Amino acid sequence: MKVLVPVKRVIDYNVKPRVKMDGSGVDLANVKMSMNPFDEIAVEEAIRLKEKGVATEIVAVSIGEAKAQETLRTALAMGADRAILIVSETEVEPLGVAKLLAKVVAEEAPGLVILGKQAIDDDSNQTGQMLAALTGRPQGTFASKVEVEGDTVKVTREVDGGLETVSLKTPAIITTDLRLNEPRYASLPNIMKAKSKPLAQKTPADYGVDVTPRLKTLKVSEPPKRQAGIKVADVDELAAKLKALGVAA
Amino acid sequence: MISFELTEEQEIARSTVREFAGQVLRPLARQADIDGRIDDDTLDQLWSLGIVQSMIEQDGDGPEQSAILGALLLEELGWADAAFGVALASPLGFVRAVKEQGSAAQKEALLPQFAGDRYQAAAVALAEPGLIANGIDALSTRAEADPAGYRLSGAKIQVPLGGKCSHFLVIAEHDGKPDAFIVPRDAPGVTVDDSDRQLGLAGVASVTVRFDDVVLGHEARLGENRGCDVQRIVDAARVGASSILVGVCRGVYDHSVDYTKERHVHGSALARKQSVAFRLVDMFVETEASRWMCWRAATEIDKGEPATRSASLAQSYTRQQATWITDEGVQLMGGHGFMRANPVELWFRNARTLSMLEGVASV
Repeated sequence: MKVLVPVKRVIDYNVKPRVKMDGSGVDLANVKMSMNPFDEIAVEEAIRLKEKGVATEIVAVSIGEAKAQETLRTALAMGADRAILIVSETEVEPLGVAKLLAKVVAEEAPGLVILGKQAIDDDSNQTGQMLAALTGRPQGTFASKVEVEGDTVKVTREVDGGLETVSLKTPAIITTDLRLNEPRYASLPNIMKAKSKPLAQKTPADYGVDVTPRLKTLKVSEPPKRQAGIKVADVDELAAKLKALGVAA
Repeated sequence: MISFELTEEQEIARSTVREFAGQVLRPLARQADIDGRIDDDTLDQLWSLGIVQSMIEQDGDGPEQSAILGALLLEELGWADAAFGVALASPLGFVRAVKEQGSAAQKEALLPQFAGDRYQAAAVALAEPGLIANGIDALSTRAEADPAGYRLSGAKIQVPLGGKCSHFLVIAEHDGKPDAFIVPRDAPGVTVDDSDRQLGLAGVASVTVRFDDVVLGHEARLGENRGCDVQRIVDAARVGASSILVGVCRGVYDHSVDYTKERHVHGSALARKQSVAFRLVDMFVETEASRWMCWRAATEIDKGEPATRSASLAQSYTRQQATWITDEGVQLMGGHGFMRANPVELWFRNARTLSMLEGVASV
């Protein structure tokens, strides 16, 4: 079974983002970029499926600026077999990404598509669900466990009330949650070998998809600074303060 | 053409090792210092990064950038803790020497032992107990001709993880010139003395190794009849050790910035006070300068150019700066700096120890 893993290049999770002076977006100049952590989990899950003999080929795909090639090479170094880079120097919104992925799915016919549940830059949490709708495939989102048996895949989902297990017929779409697995570190020999794995370069036009943004960002601003707290002497004072603030009766 | 731009592979490798250093190694540094050893699991994990194995796998044709890659990655390990850097740099130095300068038979016999999944210690042994323990010009360890091949006698100090090493690459005088000999630790006449303790780098306790008329076959001489370029081994080791120190400096700087921004004294954050801000800037500048010197020397080594001058410059500059920067790190934390609840006293001891190791080649 072929597994398709879309990965996104995002601002590194360790970086404290800063808003541009003109409020037009987040300042990405000289900022460390990495693979979206949820996508790393997706790559890891695909590799584990391959190690179990369930998956036969892992194809990583990324949509973004040319530098996203580095993110794909990282996926290849972790264990993906080949990669597709769809270059777009302008930002592509989740629906545009899902439309492009739907075309890739039609072309590659993967048994499973494993995506991160969301990217940590825009936190949209939309692409996987949109892709499922566009391709008419069943979806198992926020997966914390994935078990493939024949042509069904059992996905344990992290939902508000606890854990829910759904059974999907392949081909299917899965989005990963944080606790699905712990991604491996690519070893240096594998990083070197990734250089010679195939990486195809495409553009949205190759797939006939219009990725013009439908949304316009009006303003990006820093969250308000947290006010300093106060110390109270005892429970009575605390209760009085809460009453004064109108949050307790 | 001068370029400081990394290749895609170098970028990915650095980013991977940086992540590993932060997530896995850094939290284990204090315990290794207290225990006086890095546990085997951690050493195996460090090994699984494949830095040594990658050097073994490189074929001779491609553009070899092993020294610059080593400089990049050892900085990351040094950032986590210098002891981890040394634990990897030491076998790396040994394997690099064999890979680059060994005979076909030596490569075939030795390299597979370092290509596996488990940590395998080995070290270049250069520094000697005598007063003249500097460079390779006045070695008291000697290899004399013997009917079997060579007879080695002398002693080496500051050999990291000496008790764990399968082999030493002993730098000894032979025929009036410096030369290198591959000596198994269990060869008759080799004794390892680990009775002394050092200021820092406790995790990779250095030992003294004595060689009493150790009889070696002809195959023990690195490069066999060709011999080898001992200076190249020393140069590479100097750049490796210096890169670890650059990582320590960056760690101290990162920590100092965070701390001085948080710590309020007389109504404002320490970092807002001009004298503190100036010192932070100086720490940053000197760390950058040290790194560039390391990269230059590493680039020359990779190109096969004479690198002794640039490697010595990198070493002497980085040592001075690391000693100063780690001391500043302790100072900026005031009374907290020398307490074991904080990491800077550990970094200070490690940097001071590593900057003394003119076991040059031993790290």
